[in-house]
Amino acid sequence: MLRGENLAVHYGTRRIFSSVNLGVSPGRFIALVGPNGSGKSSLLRVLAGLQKPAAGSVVSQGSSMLIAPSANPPADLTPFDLAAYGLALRRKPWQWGLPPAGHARIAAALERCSLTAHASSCVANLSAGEVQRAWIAAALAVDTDTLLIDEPTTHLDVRYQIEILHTLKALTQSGIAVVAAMHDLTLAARFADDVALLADGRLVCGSPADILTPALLSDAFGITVSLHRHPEEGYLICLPR
Amino acid sequence: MASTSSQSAVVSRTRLARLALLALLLPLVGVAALFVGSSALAPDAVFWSLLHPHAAGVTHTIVWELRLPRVLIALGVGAGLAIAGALLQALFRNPLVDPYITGVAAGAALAAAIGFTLQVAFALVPALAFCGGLACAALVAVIGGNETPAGNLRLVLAGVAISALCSALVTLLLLHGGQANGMPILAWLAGGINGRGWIDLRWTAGYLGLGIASAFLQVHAVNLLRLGSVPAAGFGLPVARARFGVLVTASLITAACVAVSGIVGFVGLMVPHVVRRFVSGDARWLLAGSALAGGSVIVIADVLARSLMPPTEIPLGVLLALVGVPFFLSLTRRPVEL
Repeated sequence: MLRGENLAVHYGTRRIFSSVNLGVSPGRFIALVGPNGSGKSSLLRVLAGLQKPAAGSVVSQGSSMLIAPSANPPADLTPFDLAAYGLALRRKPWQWGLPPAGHARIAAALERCSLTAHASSCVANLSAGEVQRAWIAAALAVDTDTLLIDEPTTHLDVRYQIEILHTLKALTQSGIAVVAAMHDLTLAARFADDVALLADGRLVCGSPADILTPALLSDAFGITVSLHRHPEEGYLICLPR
Repeated sequence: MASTSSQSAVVSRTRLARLALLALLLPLVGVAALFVGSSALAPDAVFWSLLHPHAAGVTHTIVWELRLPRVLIALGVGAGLAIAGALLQALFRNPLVDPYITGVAAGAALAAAIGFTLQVAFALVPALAFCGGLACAALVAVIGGNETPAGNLRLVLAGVAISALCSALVTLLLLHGGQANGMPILAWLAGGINGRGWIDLRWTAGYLGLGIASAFLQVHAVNLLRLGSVPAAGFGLPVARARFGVLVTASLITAACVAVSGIVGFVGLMVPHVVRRFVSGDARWLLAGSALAGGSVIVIADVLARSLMPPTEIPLGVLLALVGVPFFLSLTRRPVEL
Protein backbone atom coordinates (compact mmCIF):
# COMPACT_ATOMS: atom_id res chain seq x y z
CA MET A 1 0.00 0.00 0.00
CA LEU A 2 1.27 3.42 -0.97
CA ARG A 3 -0.28 6.75 -0.03
CA GLY A 4 0.73 10.29 -0.86
CA GLU A 5 -0.76 12.88 1.48
CA ASN A 6 -1.01 16.60 0.79
CA LEU A 7 1.85 16.45 -1.67
CA ALA A 8 3.22 19.57 -3.27
CA VAL A 9 6.02 20.02 -5.79
CA HIS A 10 7.56 23.36 -6.71
CA TYR A 11 10.41 24.09 -9.08
CA GLY A 12 11.82 27.39 -7.91
CA THR A 13 8.89 29.75 -7.76
CA ARG A 14 6.86 27.64 -10.16
CA ARG A 15 4.19 25.63 -8.38
CA ILE A 16 3.56 22.34 -10.19
CA PHE A 17 0.91 20.89 -7.89
CA SER A 18 -0.19 21.07 -4.29
CA SER A 19 -2.54 19.33 -1.84
CA VAL A 20 -2.38 16.14 -3.87
CA ASN A 21 -3.68 13.00 -2.20
CA LEU A 22 -3.38 9.63 -3.87
CA GLY A 23 -3.86 6.20 -2.30
CA VAL A 24 -2.68 3.10 -4.13
CA SER A 25 -4.18 -0.16 -2.85
CA PRO A 26 -2.83 -3.62 -3.70
CA GLY A 27 -4.15 -4.99 -6.95
CA ARG A 28 -5.32 -1.62 -8.32
CA PHE A 29 -4.33 -0.18 -11.68
CA ILE A 30 -4.32 3.61 -11.58
CA ALA A 31 -3.84 5.56 -14.79
CA LEU A 32 -2.30 8.97 -14.10
CA VAL A 33 -3.35 11.33 -16.87
CA GLY A 34 -2.97 15.03 -17.48
CA PRO A 35 -1.47 17.57 -19.85
CA ASN A 36 2.26 17.81 -20.50
CA GLY A 37 3.98 19.65 -17.67
CA SER A 38 1.19 18.96 -15.18
CA GLY A 39 3.61 17.07 -12.93
CA LYS A 40 2.81 13.41 -13.65
CA SER A 41 6.48 12.38 -13.74
CA SER A 42 7.25 14.49 -10.67
CA LEU A 43 4.39 12.85 -8.77
CA LEU A 44 5.69 9.39 -9.70
CA ARG A 45 9.19 10.36 -8.55
CA VAL A 46 7.81 11.66 -5.26
CA LEU A 47 5.77 8.48 -4.73
CA ALA A 48 8.89 6.42 -5.50
CA GLY A 49 10.85 8.33 -2.88
CA LEU A 50 13.26 9.71 -5.48
CA GLN A 51 12.21 13.33 -5.10
CA LYS A 52 11.49 15.21 -1.92
CA PRO A 53 8.12 16.97 -2.06
CA ALA A 54 7.89 20.64 -1.11
CA ALA A 55 5.12 19.61 1.26
CA GLY A 56 3.30 16.46 2.31
CA SER A 57 4.49 12.94 2.85
CA VAL A 58 4.45 9.49 1.32
CA VAL A 59 3.40 6.57 3.48
CA SER A 60 4.51 3.24 2.12
CA GLN A 61 3.93 -0.29 3.30
CA GLY A 62 5.92 -2.49 0.96
CA SER A 63 8.28 -1.58 -1.83
CA SER A 64 7.78 0.47 -4.94
CA MET A 65 9.81 0.95 -8.06
CA LEU A 66 9.76 3.63 -10.73
CA ILE A 67 10.31 2.59 -14.32
CA ALA A 68 11.02 5.55 -16.59
CA PRO A 69 10.75 5.45 -20.40
CA SER A 70 14.21 6.96 -20.82
CA ALA A 71 15.80 4.09 -18.89
CA ASN A 72 17.60 2.24 -21.64
CA PRO A 73 19.68 -0.52 -20.13
CA PRO A 74 23.19 -1.08 -21.54
CA ALA A 75 22.86 -2.92 -24.84
CA ASP A 76 24.87 -5.97 -23.79
CA LEU A 77 22.59 -6.77 -20.87
CA THR A 78 19.96 -9.49 -21.04
CA PRO A 79 16.60 -9.42 -19.22
CA PHE A 80 18.09 -12.06 -16.93
CA ASP A 81 21.11 -9.84 -16.11
CA LEU A 82 18.85 -6.90 -15.43
CA ALA A 83 16.89 -8.83 -12.84
CA ALA A 84 20.09 -10.33 -11.43
CA TYR A 85 21.55 -6.84 -10.89
CA GLY A 86 18.56 -5.92 -8.74
CA LEU A 87 18.84 -9.12 -6.71
CA ALA A 88 22.60 -8.67 -6.26
CA LEU A 89 22.05 -5.99 -3.63
CA ARG A 90 20.69 -8.66 -1.33
CA ARG A 91 24.03 -10.46 -1.36
CA LYS A 92 27.28 -9.65 0.40
CA PRO A 93 29.69 -7.67 -1.80
CA TRP A 94 31.98 -10.66 -2.12
CA GLN A 95 29.16 -13.02 -3.17
CA TRP A 96 29.38 -12.49 -6.89
CA GLY A 97 27.32 -15.40 -8.16
CA LEU A 98 23.56 -15.76 -8.09
CA PRO A 99 22.32 -18.53 -5.76
CA PRO A 100 19.90 -21.16 -7.22
CA ALA A 101 16.96 -19.52 -5.43
CA GLY A 102 17.79 -16.29 -7.28
CA HIS A 103 17.78 -18.13 -10.62
CA ALA A 104 14.34 -19.56 -9.85
CA ARG A 105 13.00 -16.19 -8.74
CA ILE A 106 14.19 -14.48 -11.93
CA ALA A 107 12.87 -17.29 -14.13
CA ALA A 108 9.45 -16.92 -12.48
CA ALA A 109 9.46 -13.13 -12.97
CA LEU A 110 10.44 -13.49 -16.64
CA GLU A 111 7.71 -16.06 -17.10
CA ARG A 112 5.11 -13.67 -15.67
CA CYS A 113 6.20 -11.07 -18.21
CA SER A 114 6.27 -13.59 -21.10
CA LEU A 115 10.00 -13.10 -21.52
CA THR A 116 11.29 -16.60 -20.91
CA ALA A 117 12.22 -17.06 -24.57
CA HIS A 118 14.23 -13.82 -24.52
CA ALA A 119 15.85 -14.24 -21.11
CA SER A 120 19.34 -14.48 -22.59
CA SER A 121 18.91 -12.11 -25.54
CA CYS A 122 20.84 -8.88 -25.41
CA VAL A 123 18.69 -5.82 -24.88
CA ALA A 124 19.98 -4.48 -28.21
CA ASN A 125 18.10 -7.31 -29.94
CA LEU A 126 14.81 -6.76 -28.11
CA SER A 127 11.86 -4.59 -29.10
CA ALA A 128 10.97 -1.54 -27.03
CA GLY A 129 8.02 -3.46 -25.59
CA GLU A 130 10.23 -6.36 -24.56
CA VAL A 131 12.66 -3.95 -22.90
CA GLN A 132 9.74 -2.45 -20.95
CA ARG A 133 8.73 -5.95 -19.87
CA ALA A 134 12.34 -6.70 -18.90
CA TRP A 135 12.27 -3.75 -16.50
CA ILE A 136 8.96 -4.95 -15.10
CA ALA A 137 10.34 -8.49 -14.67
CA ALA A 138 13.37 -7.08 -12.87
CA ALA A 139 11.05 -5.19 -10.53
CA LEU A 140 9.01 -8.33 -9.89
CA ALA A 141 12.15 -10.34 -9.13
CA VAL A 142 12.89 -8.03 -6.22
CA ASP A 143 9.30 -8.38 -4.91
CA THR A 144 8.13 -4.91 -5.80
CA ASP A 145 4.61 -4.30 -4.47
CA THR A 146 3.85 -1.14 -6.42
CA LEU A 147 5.02 -0.47 -9.97
CA LEU A 148 5.21 3.20 -10.86
CA ILE A 149 5.57 3.43 -14.63
CA ASP A 150 6.11 6.63 -16.51
CA GLU A 151 4.52 6.34 -19.94
CA PRO A 152 4.63 2.56 -20.40
CA THR A 153 3.33 2.79 -23.97
CA THR A 154 5.71 5.49 -25.22
CA HIS A 155 7.66 4.47 -28.35
CA LEU A 156 5.53 1.33 -28.72
CA ASP A 157 3.37 0.45 -31.70
CA VAL A 158 -0.29 -0.38 -31.03
CA ARG A 159 0.34 -4.11 -30.66
CA TYR A 160 3.02 -3.63 -28.02
CA GLN A 161 0.97 -0.94 -26.29
CA ILE A 162 -1.86 -3.43 -25.79
CA GLU A 163 0.59 -6.19 -24.83
CA ILE A 164 2.33 -4.18 -22.11
CA LEU A 165 -0.97 -3.01 -20.66
CA HIS A 166 -2.30 -6.59 -20.62
CA THR A 167 0.89 -7.59 -18.78
CA LEU A 168 0.37 -4.85 -16.20
CA LYS A 169 -3.31 -5.71 -15.82
CA ALA A 170 -2.45 -9.37 -15.27
CA LEU A 171 0.02 -8.37 -12.57
CA THR A 172 -2.63 -6.43 -10.67
CA GLN A 173 -4.64 -9.64 -10.48
CA SER A 174 -1.86 -11.11 -8.35
CA GLY A 175 -2.00 -8.19 -5.92
CA ILE A 176 0.61 -5.87 -7.43
CA ALA A 177 -0.43 -2.23 -7.63
CA VAL A 178 0.30 -0.26 -10.78
CA VAL A 179 0.38 3.51 -11.25
CA ALA A 180 1.03 4.36 -14.89
CA ALA A 181 1.37 7.88 -16.28
CA MET A 182 -0.41 7.72 -19.64
CA HIS A 183 -1.38 10.02 -22.48
CA ASP A 184 -3.87 7.79 -24.27
CA LEU A 185 -7.15 8.37 -22.49
CA THR A 186 -8.91 5.46 -24.21
CA LEU A 187 -6.23 3.00 -23.11
CA ALA A 188 -6.43 4.49 -19.62
CA ALA A 189 -10.20 3.98 -19.57
CA ARG A 190 -9.90 0.46 -20.90
CA PHE A 191 -7.22 -0.90 -18.59
CA ALA A 192 -7.26 1.18 -15.39
CA ASP A 193 -9.43 0.58 -12.35
CA ASP A 194 -9.08 4.24 -11.43
CA VAL A 195 -8.05 7.32 -13.34
CA ALA A 196 -6.15 10.14 -11.59
CA LEU A 197 -6.33 13.39 -13.53
CA LEU A 198 -3.60 15.88 -12.68
CA ALA A 199 -4.15 19.34 -14.12
CA ASP A 200 -3.75 22.95 -13.00
CA GLY A 201 -1.93 21.85 -9.88
CA ARG A 202 -4.81 19.66 -8.60
CA LEU A 203 -5.48 15.95 -8.72
CA VAL A 204 -8.86 14.27 -8.96
CA CYS A 205 -9.16 10.51 -8.79
CA GLY A 206 -12.01 8.12 -9.36
CA SER A 207 -13.41 5.54 -11.71
CA PRO A 208 -12.83 6.13 -15.43
CA ALA A 209 -16.49 7.09 -15.89
CA ASP A 210 -16.27 9.66 -13.08
CA ILE A 211 -13.07 11.31 -14.24
CA LEU A 212 -13.14 11.01 -18.01
CA THR A 213 -16.01 13.42 -18.49
CA PRO A 214 -16.23 16.09 -21.21
CA ALA A 215 -16.21 18.86 -18.60
CA LEU A 216 -13.14 17.67 -16.66
CA LEU A 217 -11.22 16.82 -19.81
CA SER A 218 -12.07 20.13 -21.41
CA ASP A 219 -10.86 21.99 -18.31
CA ALA A 220 -7.68 19.93 -18.14
CA PHE A 221 -6.62 19.85 -21.78
CA GLY A 222 -8.40 22.93 -23.14
CA ILE A 223 -10.06 21.04 -25.96
CA THR A 224 -13.38 19.31 -26.46
CA VAL A 225 -13.35 15.54 -26.09
CA SER A 226 -16.25 13.42 -27.23
CA LEU A 227 -16.88 10.21 -25.31
CA HIS A 228 -18.32 6.99 -26.64
CA ARG A 229 -18.73 3.47 -25.32
CA HIS A 230 -17.09 0.49 -26.97
CA PRO A 231 -20.05 -1.42 -28.43
CA GLU A 232 -18.93 -4.83 -27.15
CA GLU A 233 -16.64 -4.30 -24.17
CA GLY A 234 -18.25 -1.13 -22.84
CA TYR A 235 -15.12 0.86 -21.99
CA LEU A 236 -14.94 4.57 -22.73
CA ILE A 237 -13.49 5.78 -26.00
CA CYS A 238 -12.16 9.34 -25.82
CA LEU A 239 -11.94 11.22 -29.10
CA PRO A 240 -10.48 14.71 -29.07
CA ARG A 241 -12.26 17.06 -31.45
CA MET B 1 14.15 -22.30 -17.55
CA ALA B 2 16.51 -25.06 -18.64
CA SER B 3 17.26 -23.28 -21.89
CA THR B 4 17.81 -19.98 -20.05
CA SER B 5 20.25 -21.62 -17.67
CA SER B 6 22.12 -23.39 -20.46
CA GLN B 7 22.41 -20.18 -22.52
CA SER B 8 23.66 -18.31 -19.44
CA ALA B 9 26.15 -21.09 -18.82
CA VAL B 10 27.49 -20.80 -22.40
CA VAL B 11 27.86 -17.01 -22.02
CA SER B 12 29.60 -17.45 -18.68
CA ARG B 13 31.97 -20.06 -20.12
CA THR B 14 32.87 -17.77 -23.02
CA ARG B 15 33.56 -14.89 -20.65
CA LEU B 16 35.55 -17.13 -18.37
CA ALA B 17 37.64 -18.45 -21.28
CA ARG B 18 38.43 -14.90 -22.42
CA LEU B 19 39.25 -13.79 -18.89
CA ALA B 20 41.50 -16.85 -18.56
CA LEU B 21 43.30 -15.76 -21.73
CA LEU B 22 43.96 -12.35 -20.19
CA ALA B 23 45.05 -14.02 -16.95
CA LEU B 24 47.49 -16.16 -18.92
CA LEU B 25 48.82 -13.18 -20.86
CA LEU B 26 49.69 -11.19 -17.74
CA PRO B 27 52.34 -13.49 -16.21
CA LEU B 28 53.72 -14.28 -19.67
CA VAL B 29 54.19 -10.59 -20.41
CA GLY B 30 55.49 -9.94 -16.90
CA VAL B 31 58.14 -12.65 -17.10
CA ALA B 32 59.10 -11.76 -20.68
CA ALA B 33 59.64 -8.13 -19.60
CA LEU B 34 62.34 -9.28 -17.18
CA PHE B 35 64.42 -10.42 -20.14
CA VAL B 36 64.31 -7.08 -21.97
CA GLY B 37 66.20 -3.94 -21.11
CA SER B 38 69.03 -1.61 -22.04
CA SER B 39 71.55 -4.13 -20.69
CA ALA B 40 71.64 -7.24 -22.84
CA LEU B 41 71.47 -10.15 -20.41
CA ALA B 42 71.65 -13.80 -21.41
CA PRO B 43 68.26 -15.48 -20.87
CA ASP B 44 69.80 -18.33 -18.86
CA ALA B 45 71.50 -15.78 -16.57
CA VAL B 46 68.16 -14.07 -15.98
CA PHE B 47 66.55 -17.44 -15.21
CA TRP B 48 69.35 -18.32 -12.85
CA SER B 49 68.98 -14.99 -11.05
CA LEU B 50 65.25 -15.45 -10.70
CA LEU B 51 65.73 -18.90 -9.20
CA HIS B 52 68.39 -17.62 -6.77
CA PRO B 53 66.98 -14.52 -5.08
CA HIS B 54 69.82 -14.29 -2.56
CA ALA B 55 72.69 -14.50 -5.03
CA ALA B 56 74.94 -11.54 -5.92
CA GLY B 57 76.31 -10.02 -9.11
CA VAL B 58 75.44 -7.52 -11.82
CA THR B 59 72.78 -9.68 -13.49
CA HIS B 60 71.15 -10.34 -10.14
CA THR B 61 71.11 -6.65 -9.32
CA ILE B 62 69.62 -5.72 -12.69
CA VAL B 63 66.93 -8.40 -12.48
CA TRP B 64 66.01 -8.09 -8.79
CA GLU B 65 66.64 -4.43 -8.07
CA LEU B 66 65.76 -2.79 -11.38
CA ARG B 67 63.61 -4.90 -13.65
CA LEU B 68 61.41 -6.86 -11.20
CA PRO B 69 60.16 -3.91 -9.15
CA ARG B 70 59.67 -1.98 -12.37
CA VAL B 71 57.57 -4.78 -13.89
CA LEU B 72 55.53 -5.08 -10.69
CA ILE B 73 54.93 -1.32 -10.58
CA ALA B 74 53.90 -1.42 -14.26
CA LEU B 75 51.44 -4.22 -13.49
CA GLY B 76 49.98 -2.31 -10.56
CA VAL B 77 49.73 1.01 -12.38
CA GLY B 78 48.17 -0.60 -15.47
CA ALA B 79 45.67 -2.60 -13.43
CA GLY B 80 44.84 0.40 -11.25
CA LEU B 81 44.33 2.94 -14.03
CA ALA B 82 42.20 0.52 -16.06
CA ILE B 83 40.01 -0.24 -13.03
CA ALA B 84 39.72 3.46 -12.20
CA GLY B 85 38.68 4.16 -15.81
CA ALA B 86 36.07 1.40 -15.74
CA LEU B 87 34.68 2.73 -12.43
CA LEU B 88 34.46 6.32 -13.66
CA GLN B 89 32.83 5.32 -16.96
CA ALA B 90 30.14 3.41 -15.05
CA LEU B 91 29.75 6.17 -12.46
CA PHE B 92 29.22 8.95 -14.98
CA ARG B 93 27.55 6.67 -17.56
CA ASN B 94 29.87 8.25 -20.03
CA PRO B 95 32.14 6.07 -22.16
CA LEU B 96 34.52 8.94 -22.88
CA VAL B 97 35.73 9.55 -19.35
CA ASP B 98 38.84 8.25 -17.67
CA PRO B 99 40.92 9.39 -14.69
CA TYR B 100 42.43 12.14 -16.85
CA ILE B 101 39.31 13.54 -18.46
CA THR B 102 37.52 13.71 -15.10
CA GLY B 103 40.35 15.79 -13.62
CA VAL B 104 41.20 13.13 -11.03
CA ALA B 105 44.69 12.58 -12.35
CA ALA B 106 45.42 16.28 -12.83
CA GLY B 107 44.32 17.04 -9.27
CA ALA B 108 46.40 14.16 -7.99
CA ALA B 109 49.37 15.33 -10.05
CA LEU B 110 49.10 18.87 -8.71
CA ALA B 111 48.92 17.69 -5.11
CA ALA B 112 51.81 15.27 -5.68
CA ALA B 113 53.87 18.02 -7.33
CA ILE B 114 53.25 20.23 -4.30
CA GLY B 115 54.39 17.31 -2.14
CA PHE B 116 57.58 16.89 -4.19
CA THR B 117 58.26 20.63 -4.09
CA LEU B 118 57.85 20.71 -0.33
CA GLN B 119 59.98 17.54 -0.18
CA VAL B 120 57.51 15.60 1.94
CA ALA B 121 58.24 11.91 2.55
CA PHE B 122 57.31 9.76 -0.46
CA ALA B 123 55.00 7.70 1.74
CA LEU B 124 52.74 10.73 2.06
CA VAL B 125 52.72 11.62 -1.64
CA PRO B 126 49.95 9.14 -2.58
CA ALA B 127 47.86 10.46 0.33
CA LEU B 128 48.34 14.03 -0.87
CA ALA B 129 47.61 12.95 -4.44
CA PHE B 130 44.44 11.24 -3.21
CA CYS B 131 43.18 14.46 -1.59
CA GLY B 132 43.94 16.46 -4.73
CA GLY B 133 42.37 13.88 -7.04
CA LEU B 134 39.24 13.52 -4.94
CA ALA B 135 38.79 17.29 -4.65
CA CYS B 136 38.98 17.71 -8.44
CA ALA B 137 36.77 14.70 -9.08
CA ALA B 138 34.13 16.00 -6.68
CA LEU B 139 34.25 19.43 -8.29
CA VAL B 140 33.92 17.97 -11.78
CA ALA B 141 31.08 15.71 -10.61
CA VAL B 142 29.21 18.66 -9.10
CA ILE B 143 29.58 20.68 -12.30
CA GLY B 144 28.77 17.72 -14.55
CA GLY B 145 25.89 16.83 -12.29
CA ASN B 146 23.32 14.66 -13.94
CA GLU B 147 23.27 11.87 -16.49
CA THR B 148 21.67 13.81 -19.31
CA PRO B 149 23.65 14.38 -22.53
CA ALA B 150 24.06 18.03 -21.47
CA GLY B 151 25.35 16.90 -18.07
CA ASN B 152 27.82 14.53 -19.72
CA LEU B 153 29.09 17.30 -21.96
CA ARG B 154 29.45 19.64 -18.97
CA LEU B 155 31.31 16.87 -17.16
CA VAL B 156 33.88 16.45 -19.91
CA LEU B 157 34.26 20.21 -20.34
CA ALA B 158 34.65 20.69 -16.58
CA GLY B 159 37.22 17.88 -16.46
CA VAL B 160 39.22 19.39 -19.30
CA ALA B 161 39.06 22.86 -17.70
CA ILE B 162 40.06 21.64 -14.22
CA SER B 163 42.86 19.57 -15.75
CA ALA B 164 44.14 22.62 -17.62
CA LEU B 165 44.04 24.68 -14.42
CA CYS B 166 45.95 22.01 -12.50
CA SER B 167 48.53 21.73 -15.30
CA ALA B 168 49.01 25.50 -15.23
CA LEU B 169 49.55 25.43 -11.48
CA VAL B 170 52.03 22.57 -11.84
CA THR B 171 53.93 24.63 -14.44
CA LEU B 172 54.05 27.54 -11.99
CA LEU B 173 55.42 25.16 -9.38
CA LEU B 174 58.06 23.98 -11.86
CA LEU B 175 59.10 27.54 -12.63
CA HIS B 176 59.16 28.39 -8.96
CA GLY B 177 61.22 25.31 -8.17
CA GLY B 178 63.94 26.24 -10.64
CA GLN B 179 66.11 23.85 -12.64
CA ALA B 180 67.20 21.72 -9.70
CA ASN B 181 63.77 20.94 -8.28
CA GLY B 182 61.82 21.32 -11.48
CA MET B 183 63.50 18.72 -13.68
CA PRO B 184 62.69 15.67 -11.54
CA ILE B 185 59.07 16.78 -11.33
CA LEU B 186 58.96 17.34 -15.09
CA ALA B 187 60.37 13.85 -15.73
CA TRP B 188 57.84 12.40 -13.31
CA LEU B 189 54.97 14.30 -14.94
CA ALA B 190 55.88 12.95 -18.38
CA GLY B 191 54.80 9.59 -17.05
CA GLY B 192 56.97 6.61 -16.54
CA ILE B 193 58.40 4.23 -14.05
CA ASN B 194 62.00 4.70 -14.96
CA GLY B 195 64.15 4.51 -11.83
CA ARG B 196 61.35 3.29 -9.56
CA GLY B 197 62.29 0.58 -7.11
CA TRP B 198 61.10 -1.56 -4.23
CA ILE B 199 60.72 1.43 -1.93
CA ASP B 200 58.28 3.14 -4.33
CA LEU B 201 56.44 -0.15 -4.82
CA ARG B 202 56.14 -0.67 -1.07
CA TRP B 203 54.63 2.75 -0.43
CA THR B 204 52.26 2.59 -3.35
CA ALA B 205 51.12 -1.00 -2.97
CA GLY B 206 49.14 -0.30 0.20
CA TYR B 207 47.10 2.50 -1.37
CA LEU B 208 46.67 0.61 -4.61
CA GLY B 209 45.72 -2.65 -2.89
CA LEU B 210 43.17 -0.87 -0.73
CA GLY B 211 41.67 0.88 -3.75
CA ILE B 212 41.48 -2.23 -5.92
CA ALA B 213 39.98 -4.32 -3.09
CA SER B 214 37.43 -1.57 -2.49
CA ALA B 215 36.58 -1.53 -6.21
CA PHE B 216 35.91 -5.25 -6.26
CA LEU B 217 33.70 -4.94 -3.17
CA GLN B 218 31.54 -2.43 -5.02
CA VAL B 219 30.81 -4.45 -8.16
CA HIS B 220 27.09 -4.81 -7.43
CA ALA B 221 26.72 -1.06 -6.91
CA VAL B 222 28.74 -0.33 -10.07
CA ASN B 223 26.49 -2.64 -12.08
CA LEU B 224 23.41 -0.86 -10.81
CA LEU B 225 24.91 2.57 -11.50
CA ARG B 226 25.37 1.42 -15.10
CA LEU B 227 21.59 1.31 -15.33
CA GLY B 228 21.19 4.94 -14.24
CA SER B 229 20.41 6.47 -10.89
CA VAL B 230 16.60 6.11 -11.11
CA PRO B 231 16.57 2.34 -11.71
CA ALA B 232 19.45 1.91 -9.26
CA ALA B 233 17.46 3.71 -6.56
CA GLY B 234 14.40 1.68 -7.52
CA PHE B 235 16.31 -1.50 -6.83
CA GLY B 236 17.20 -0.12 -3.39
CA LEU B 237 20.71 1.24 -3.96
CA PRO B 238 21.53 4.29 -1.82
CA VAL B 239 22.65 6.11 -4.95
CA ALA B 240 24.39 9.16 -3.49
CA ARG B 241 26.42 7.04 -1.07
CA ALA B 242 27.27 4.49 -3.75
CA ARG B 243 28.37 7.18 -6.23
CA PHE B 244 30.56 8.79 -3.59
CA GLY B 245 32.07 5.41 -2.70
CA VAL B 246 32.96 4.72 -6.33
CA LEU B 247 34.40 8.23 -6.78
CA VAL B 248 36.56 7.87 -3.65
CA THR B 249 37.77 4.47 -4.79
CA ALA B 250 38.64 5.66 -8.31
CA SER B 251 40.44 8.69 -6.84
CA LEU B 252 42.42 6.55 -4.41
CA ILE B 253 43.56 4.17 -7.15
CA THR B 254 44.43 7.01 -9.52
CA ALA B 255 46.32 8.86 -6.80
CA ALA B 256 48.43 5.80 -6.02
CA CYS B 257 49.22 5.36 -9.72
CA VAL B 258 49.97 9.05 -10.31
CA ALA B 259 52.25 9.20 -7.27
CA VAL B 260 54.43 6.42 -8.60
CA SER B 261 54.24 6.88 -12.35
CA GLY B 262 53.19 10.47 -13.06
CA ILE B 263 50.77 11.17 -15.90
CA VAL B 264 50.17 7.92 -17.79
CA GLY B 265 47.13 8.62 -19.89
CA PHE B 266 44.69 6.67 -22.05
CA VAL B 267 45.02 3.29 -20.29
CA GLY B 268 41.97 4.10 -18.21
CA LEU B 269 40.07 4.97 -21.36
CA MET B 270 41.20 2.31 -23.79
CA VAL B 271 41.43 -0.83 -21.69
CA PRO B 272 37.86 -0.83 -20.28
CA HIS B 273 36.51 -0.29 -23.82
CA VAL B 274 38.39 -3.23 -25.24
CA VAL B 275 37.57 -5.47 -22.27
CA ARG B 276 33.90 -4.49 -22.48
CA ARG B 277 33.83 -5.77 -26.05
CA PHE B 278 36.11 -8.74 -25.52
CA VAL B 279 34.79 -10.02 -22.16
CA SER B 280 31.75 -8.19 -20.78
CA GLY B 281 30.46 -4.86 -19.53
CA ASP B 282 29.30 -6.50 -16.28
CA ALA B 283 31.41 -4.93 -13.53
CA ARG B 284 32.44 -8.31 -12.10
CA TRP B 285 34.05 -9.29 -15.39
CA LEU B 286 34.97 -5.80 -16.50
CA LEU B 287 37.02 -4.94 -13.43
CA ALA B 288 38.80 -8.29 -13.42
CA GLY B 289 39.46 -8.14 -17.17
CA SER B 290 40.56 -4.49 -17.01
CA ALA B 291 43.00 -5.24 -14.19
CA LEU B 292 44.58 -8.08 -16.16
CA ALA B 293 44.62 -6.31 -19.52
CA GLY B 294 45.69 -2.95 -18.05
CA GLY B 295 48.63 -4.60 -16.28
CA SER B 296 49.73 -6.29 -19.50
CA VAL B 297 49.38 -3.10 -21.55
CA ILE B 298 51.59 -1.03 -19.24
CA VAL B 299 54.21 -3.76 -18.95
CA ILE B 300 54.37 -4.01 -22.75
CA ALA B 301 54.40 -0.21 -23.10
CA ASP B 302 57.18 0.06 -20.54
CA VAL B 303 59.25 -2.55 -22.40
CA LEU B 304 58.77 -0.59 -25.63
CA ALA B 305 59.51 2.69 -23.84
CA ARG B 306 62.90 1.46 -22.73
CA SER B 307 63.86 -0.49 -25.84
CA LEU B 308 62.64 1.51 -28.86
CA MET B 309 65.25 4.32 -28.70
CA PRO B 310 68.10 3.05 -26.52
CA PRO B 311 69.72 4.47 -24.52
CA THR B 312 66.95 7.11 -24.32
CA GLU B 313 63.77 6.02 -22.60
CA ILE B 314 60.58 7.33 -24.13
CA PRO B 315 58.33 8.57 -21.32
CA LEU B 316 55.52 6.07 -20.85
CA GLY B 317 52.90 8.80 -20.97
CA VAL B 318 54.24 9.97 -24.32
CA LEU B 319 54.26 6.45 -25.77
CA LEU B 320 50.70 5.73 -24.63
CA ALA B 321 49.47 9.07 -25.96
CA LEU B 322 50.84 8.10 -29.39
CA VAL B 323 48.62 5.01 -29.33
CA GLY B 324 45.82 6.48 -27.22
CA VAL B 325 44.98 9.58 -29.22
CA PRO B 326 44.12 7.67 -32.42
CA PHE B 327 42.09 5.27 -30.28
CA PHE B 328 40.24 8.14 -28.61
CA LEU B 329 39.48 9.70 -31.99
CA SER B 330 38.29 6.36 -33.36
CA LEU B 331 35.76 6.21 -30.50
CA THR B 332 34.08 9.28 -31.86
CA ARG B 333 33.44 7.52 -35.16
CA ARG B 334 31.41 4.59 -33.86
CA PRO B 335 28.76 3.99 -31.24
CA VAL B 336 30.23 3.09 -27.89
CA GLU B 337 28.44 1.18 -25.19
CA LEU B 338 28.80 1.28 -21.48
